[in-house]
Amino acid sequence: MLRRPALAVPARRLGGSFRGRPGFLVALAVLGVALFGGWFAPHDPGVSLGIPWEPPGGAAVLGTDDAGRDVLSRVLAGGRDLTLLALVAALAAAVLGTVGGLVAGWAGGRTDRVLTGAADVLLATPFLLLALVLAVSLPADAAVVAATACGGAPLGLRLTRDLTRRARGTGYVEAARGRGETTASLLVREVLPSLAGAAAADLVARFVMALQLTAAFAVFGLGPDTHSPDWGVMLHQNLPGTPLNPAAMAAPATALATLAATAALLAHTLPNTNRPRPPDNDPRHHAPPLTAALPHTRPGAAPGDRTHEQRTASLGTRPDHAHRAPGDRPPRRAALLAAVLPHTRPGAAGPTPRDRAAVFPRTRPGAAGAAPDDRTRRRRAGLLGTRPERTRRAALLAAVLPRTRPGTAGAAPGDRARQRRGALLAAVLRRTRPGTAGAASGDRTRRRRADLLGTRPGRTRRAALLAAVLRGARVGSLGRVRCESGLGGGLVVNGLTVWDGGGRVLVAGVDLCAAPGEVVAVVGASGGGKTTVLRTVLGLLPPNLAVDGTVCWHGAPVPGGRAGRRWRRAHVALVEQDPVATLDPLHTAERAVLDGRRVPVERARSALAALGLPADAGTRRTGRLSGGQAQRVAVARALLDDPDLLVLDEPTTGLDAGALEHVEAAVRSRRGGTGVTLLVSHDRAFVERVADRVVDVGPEPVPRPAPRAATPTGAPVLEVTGLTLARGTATLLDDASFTIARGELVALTGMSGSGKTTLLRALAGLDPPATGRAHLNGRPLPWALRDRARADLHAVQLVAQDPAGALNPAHRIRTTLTRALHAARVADAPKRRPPGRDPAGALKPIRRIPTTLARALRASRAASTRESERQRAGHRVRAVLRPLGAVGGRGRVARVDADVAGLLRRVGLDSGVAGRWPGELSGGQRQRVAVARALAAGPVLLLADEITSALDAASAASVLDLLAELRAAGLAVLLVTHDPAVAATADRVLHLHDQALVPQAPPRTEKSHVRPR
Amino acid sequence: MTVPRILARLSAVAALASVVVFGATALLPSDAVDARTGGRATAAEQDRLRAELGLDRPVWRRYADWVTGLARGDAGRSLLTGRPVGDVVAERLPATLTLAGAAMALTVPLTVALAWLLGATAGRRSRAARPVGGLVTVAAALPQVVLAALLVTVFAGLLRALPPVSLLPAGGSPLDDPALLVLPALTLAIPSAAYGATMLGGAVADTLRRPHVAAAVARGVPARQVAARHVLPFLLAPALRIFALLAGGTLAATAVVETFFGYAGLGELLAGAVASRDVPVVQAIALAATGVVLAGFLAADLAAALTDEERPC
Repeated sequence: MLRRPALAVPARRLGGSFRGRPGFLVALAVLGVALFGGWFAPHDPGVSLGIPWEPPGGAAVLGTDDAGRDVLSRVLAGGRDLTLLALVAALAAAVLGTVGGLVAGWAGGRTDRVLTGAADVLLATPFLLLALVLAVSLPADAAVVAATACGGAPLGLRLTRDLTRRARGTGYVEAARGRGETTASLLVREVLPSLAGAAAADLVARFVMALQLTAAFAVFGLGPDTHSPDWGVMLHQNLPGTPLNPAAMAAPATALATLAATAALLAHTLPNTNRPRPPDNDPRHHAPPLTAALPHTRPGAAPGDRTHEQRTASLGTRPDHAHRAPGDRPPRRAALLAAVLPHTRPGAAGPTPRDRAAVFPRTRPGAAGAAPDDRTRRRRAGLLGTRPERTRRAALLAAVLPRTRPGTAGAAPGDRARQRRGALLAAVLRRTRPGTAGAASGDRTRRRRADLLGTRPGRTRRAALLAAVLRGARVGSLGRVRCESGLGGGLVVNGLTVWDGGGRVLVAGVDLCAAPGEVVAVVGASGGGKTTVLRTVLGLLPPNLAVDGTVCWHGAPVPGGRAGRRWRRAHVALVEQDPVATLDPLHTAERAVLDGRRVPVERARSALAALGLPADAGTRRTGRLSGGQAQRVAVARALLDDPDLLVLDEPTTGLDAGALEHVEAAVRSRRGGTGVTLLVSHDRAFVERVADRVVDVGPEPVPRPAPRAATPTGAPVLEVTGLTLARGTATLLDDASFTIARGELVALTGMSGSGKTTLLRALAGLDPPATGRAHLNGRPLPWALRDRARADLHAVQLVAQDPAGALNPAHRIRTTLTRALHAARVADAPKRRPPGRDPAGALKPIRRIPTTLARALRASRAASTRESERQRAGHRVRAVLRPLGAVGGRGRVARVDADVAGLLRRVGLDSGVAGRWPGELSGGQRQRVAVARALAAGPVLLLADEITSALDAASAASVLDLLAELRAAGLAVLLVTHDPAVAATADRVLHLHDQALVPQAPPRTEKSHVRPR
Repeated sequence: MTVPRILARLSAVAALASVVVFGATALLPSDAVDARTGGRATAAEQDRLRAELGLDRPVWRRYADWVTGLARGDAGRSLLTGRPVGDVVAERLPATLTLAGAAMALTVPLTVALAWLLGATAGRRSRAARPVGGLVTVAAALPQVVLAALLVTVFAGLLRALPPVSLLPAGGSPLDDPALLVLPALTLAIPSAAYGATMLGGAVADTLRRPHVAAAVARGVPARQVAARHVLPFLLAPALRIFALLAGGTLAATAVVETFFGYAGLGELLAGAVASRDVPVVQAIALAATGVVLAGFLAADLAAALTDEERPC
């Protein structure tokens, strides 16, 4: 069935979802047996064979039942009606729940309250009870369907509603709104596909519910009559005969249990489909857990109404689940190896001998082909997670490695050998596929390679280490932090290097030491790994990062695991970034400061007073304190016991001058004492005042897009006057005016929460502001999306911050871009300017819609003889028909593909990306695709919201390059950022402060912060 | 939410639930008379019966009568025996409360233990935890009938350790022979605990992921203290809410289990009343079970109000 050419594309997707998921096939098989098992019954299930409850053996394999009928035949035949009924009931419940949830989640407001309220009432009544009550006035089958719908639909409704609400705020839905798609189209094209996994899981879960009901009804005697074979009825009838023939009970029970269990397990695994894999270079996935944003953790929400099922189905990426995009199946290792191996042999395409000599400086030819139990190889295998002689993989690895590098085996022990091995592995795997080494992370090849070696990227320290080695890192200590004895007191850190799950360097060779009584400050660019250094020193590194180097505390290694925890409790005090979140919201300030330590409460009070907190603050819950107060509570908690090692991560952000003074005094008072103080801050002035020494975890400046000489700016593209923005009751921006000219890159900076994103979303039409006027190309631009003309919609495009939610995980890149291109064409058919082919044309100012239409009509009349006429008409027809399926011939497909490829080229991506799923791309690649999608509409103004903040430095720099290029082509860009390095690439900077937009010069003098990784 | 608001909301839900219960039995086109006579009575006889039962009056009048009757403590008379519903229910109530109590006594600790296991290992993908997750999923999906059948087959059929049916001695209490309670209580507790654990496990995982918990671990606060001080207070409200749901579900499931084991309790009465279309009995029992769930929700909401993060101190 899967081979038929007509089904080629869907079959591939289907096949993709089946492969590696034997569960699907098992479930199908079980369902098949339940439905069609009767065909294989050896006897007529209705005919008596002998005495009742004859034990197994003889004519009846499983014995006989209460009327002497064959148990096996009755079990085989007894599943059909039950399963069919449960399927119908499940379908009813799932459809009701999904549709209700879509409506409630999308509409929001009163509709949402009414629907979820109704769902709550239904949920308060146990559904078995509801079924019984309904059975009073309905036939049993109808009661089962109705009760499953009443009891199950509310669950599905709540789940779908939550997912829909979340999907509504994602970048891909907002982008679709921004190009003027209708609600129906949004729901069907964007929201529903991303819910498909959850909806399917819901259907299966409802099937289980319905099965439970049907079985119960059989026991009540409400189900089918006693003659028809039915598992539930059999259980009821054969209970008295259990001692005589246990099989008469066990067989139908097992059959029902198998069906229910298979379905439940299927539902348990289903929500994983269609969700993005956590990109392994997205810093948020290896950020310290404290700063990691967990989209599905909603503090304060009633956890009772969020079932496990709901959470696992959440769209948020969870690192602990295998997010396997459909179509991304585990590669066939054998085939891959066959492809890989020929190239690994010496002499194959690769670097010249001299290069090789550089990689392997000390080749020892004599040692080639050492015994296989050689220690080095075993260690190497251990590093890669394979044990020698155990697996084919290990054997293969062993075969590959000696041949590639004659002489490694049996090389000198110690660090050098290990380093060489690292280089060796890098060489082997690089040379394996010369074109792909060092490709972007998340890259499929790298993943395959890691899979080949039995590790998955982004999960474990070993995988990160391997990734680092693959990228050419030299690993000295097999990814463990060492401590060499004989180092002095205090904290000594030498050559500390940390790699992320994708093998990129987060911290490069940091050296620092801090003696007792010293305050040492760690400074450096944001994203430069300062926090990572602190956490590594404390042994708090997330498990998916690899680490190498020396960390000693008073001449001994920092213990790990439980001992590490005791060590931290006894010796370390920590003030983390965003300290407010580290306070238990249920505790009072005093209780938080004491932190369970046996210390009189007066000391907590005096500690709070010493930091300038008001007297009544101690008895207030930490959640009721202001941000600055809560921050000082965290500092007081850290200072309470005069800790041996005090670690402060950005302790001053958000403090006003008075509070800052108190904190500064507290830190300075540790100088000359007995404790070590380690401090991370970007506030250079503060650091200079309190620190004895400053360690720069070194930005190494690299060329980054030089700010262009002020381009002669054209006419203003956007003029905004009298703009007032509010969030809730707070005014964010009061009566502000600004303009953006053609070909201008304007950066918008400001504190977090100052309203930068709100301003951008207002301009994008997503959240209309309170007051203000906007003009686009001299014409008034309405605020709300629905009031904007199509051309205006396309002229202003937003690229949002979150690369994870920017692209619909259910669509390939090609689909996403084709859709965007298509929407642009529908709006602006006569101009026919696929931006990929005509970048300059894409930026022409948009005319008024009436003009456009008039021109279109005129042009089409004049050009009626031309071939393009038919094409244009075809465009419109296909535009209408497109939602119905594949309309349009091969030529159209080819042209669209060319357009998509052109778009991708414009944002610096390979056209092969078109066939990928978003989950297979790195954060940087996804952000580029998001830009490409915006460009597809042919905007004159691009609104970019922190589009580099979630990217590593190299990807960020390349995205900024892209923006610079686009600007040079005449696009106006408004870029929200908090990073001075990013702002430095702009022509102008607008600083949002105190409800006003203050023009600033771009911070050109500041040291560059972007460095390679 | 403040306490008065909680009470107001719950009374609204209770009122709605009573409408649902009444509506499901009374509003649908085929009424109790159709069901009882099975279409064999003439139209005149049916009309007479309807008038006798008061079914010819408008629905809202019947509902109002029913509710005011309930308020006076009069739930009507059984259509089958003519006895007051209150008496019939009171007679069977102790047996069911004993069974449901025994089941909940097993369910609660089992739920907590499994939920902690599931929640604490949720982020770790540990090899040991995965089969547990699968087992819990399967156990939550098993129909009670199936579990009962499997337990009976093993303990009564193969081991002959426990009685296959739990027939109560006339006038006796189930506590006279606790062996009778074992299989029914296990049948009720296992799926219920598994279902509760999947829900509570989610809440545990969410709480463990909260930043202040991770921060406490980073500060080196001992695990037991972290659990007691920073995790459990947040789980009180969800746990109570889940237990309220489970109690309601257990009460409803007694219908299946009591019928299966021949245990003369409220559930068996309900199943029989449904089979004989004895509407007042069904209504009373359904409303009582809903009341249990709502009482549980009330307790949970009050606990939530105590652990409300917005409270000043």
